[in-house]
Amino acid sequence: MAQQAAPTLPRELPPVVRTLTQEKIQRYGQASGDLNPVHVDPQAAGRSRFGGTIAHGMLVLAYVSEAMTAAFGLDWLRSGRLRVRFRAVARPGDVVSAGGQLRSLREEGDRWHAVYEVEARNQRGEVLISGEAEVEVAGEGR
Amino acid sequence: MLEVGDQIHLGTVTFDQATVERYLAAVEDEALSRLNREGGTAWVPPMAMAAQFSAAVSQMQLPLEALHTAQELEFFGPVPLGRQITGQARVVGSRQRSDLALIHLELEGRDANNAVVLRGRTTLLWPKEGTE
Repeated sequence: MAQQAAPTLPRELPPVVRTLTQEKIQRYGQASGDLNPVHVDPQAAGRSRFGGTIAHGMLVLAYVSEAMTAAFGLDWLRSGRLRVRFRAVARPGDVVSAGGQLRSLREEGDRWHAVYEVEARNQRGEVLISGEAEVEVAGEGR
Repeated sequence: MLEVGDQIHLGTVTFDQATVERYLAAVEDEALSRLNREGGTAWVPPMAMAAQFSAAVSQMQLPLEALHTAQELEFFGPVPLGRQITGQARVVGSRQRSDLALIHLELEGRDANNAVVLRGRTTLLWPKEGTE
């Protein structure tokens, strides 16, 4: 029998909105160590099939993770799970909006598992990333 | 080229204050910055660890245009600031199609006590030569 009631969770994650610039992509490349020319060298990237630089997928995914951190704090760092697909590339100038919606909540022992459908879209509404994020949270005292 | 069963050392990184601040500034993560500012302890963003090891994967023997197409991550934190984390990857699958090549890797990050702090699975895809 459950000792705690289901936690009250946000139905929707407040979106994280970021405008990508080449400078931000360079900064991420330096911070992560991913200096693949397709991200940081406009000339080399211009000769690639992308026709210009693209943002690191993990940079865009970081915005999704931020939305989960904002909602769940340490619970996200303790037990977060992400399962996503990268659907399209993001480029300098894109305005990325990352967020999610609660899909399910299930009880497991004295903890609850919340699963959110998450995604990141650009300003044209194109899906850049889609998938799910799961986090384990405590119930509420009865 | 990498083959199924290959093990790849992704390096050891100390996630000190400078490393974490550089990462948080790069991704403009206000939520984790606030958590670290307001809490008694500062934590390593799990995505900072994932970013470092993902970058190491990207630097492997892969073509310039290799892209991540799928990513799974699992966090076993929180990890306090200052921890040294070692990353390891293993090739668990690869596929060749007429125009594309795919590779699947499992990733793991462990702290100095050998405790798993991060686990993941990543898929990379690139066009095969002469297919563009």
